[in-house]
Amino acid sequence: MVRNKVIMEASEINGTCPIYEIGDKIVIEPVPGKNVSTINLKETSAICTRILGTSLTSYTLFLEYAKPSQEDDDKLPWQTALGPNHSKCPMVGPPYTECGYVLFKVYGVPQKEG
Amino acid sequence: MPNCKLILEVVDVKGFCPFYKKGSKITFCEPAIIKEESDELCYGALLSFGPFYRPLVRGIPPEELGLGDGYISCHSAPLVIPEAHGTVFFKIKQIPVEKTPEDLWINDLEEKGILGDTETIKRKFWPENPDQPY
Repeated sequence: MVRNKVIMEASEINGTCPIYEIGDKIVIEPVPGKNVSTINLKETSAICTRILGTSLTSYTLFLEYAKPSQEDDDKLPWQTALGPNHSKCPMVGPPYTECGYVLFKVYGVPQKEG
Repeated sequence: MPNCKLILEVVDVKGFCPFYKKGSKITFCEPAIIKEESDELCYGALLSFGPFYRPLVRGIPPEELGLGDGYISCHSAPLVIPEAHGTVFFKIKQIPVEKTPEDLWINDLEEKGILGDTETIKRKFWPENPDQPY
């Protein structure tokens, strides 16, 4: 079964974030032939520990295995294809917290078989 | 640092959220959520709080974690798109507790005659084959 590469891309920042800029990516790739995946450190900008284990990362395994639907009209939006899902980090942002929040666009990219 | 009971109280909801309204609460006391003192449990919101649970329940103040006066929000993006839910903002309250549920459990066992320090008592429950699920 061909799985998808999953990309979490910073699409909006409210306030300031010391880690991410708009366009920064976290890239997750399936390990060929195995049912596990890894973060591609070469293509990944940075990994903030405060997003590990949150809803943001819970999308990744789903998107890794998701298949584009053949019947888009009959399905709910998150079931139709490979995203994007939009999700934010847990920070509230100014004036309540020094760090702003980062909005991520999470989507799957089909890999070629072989 | 004393162990703390944590209360996440909803202070605002921006947009439509099917679960929470202002004043809704989720209460944690290590190692669990206290159902009787909680309203709805949104899995996504719980996950957003996940990285902060351990330091907060063990008494580290929110200010030291960069959470200001104790504010956190859920994962839902403040976007005007059909699949988006409203963003929920929680205020974190820490209430120091003398005994956690685990302490109470150990006390209960001691009263039933299973005596010793915490490790001695736990050792009595260690399985012979811990790697086997059943």
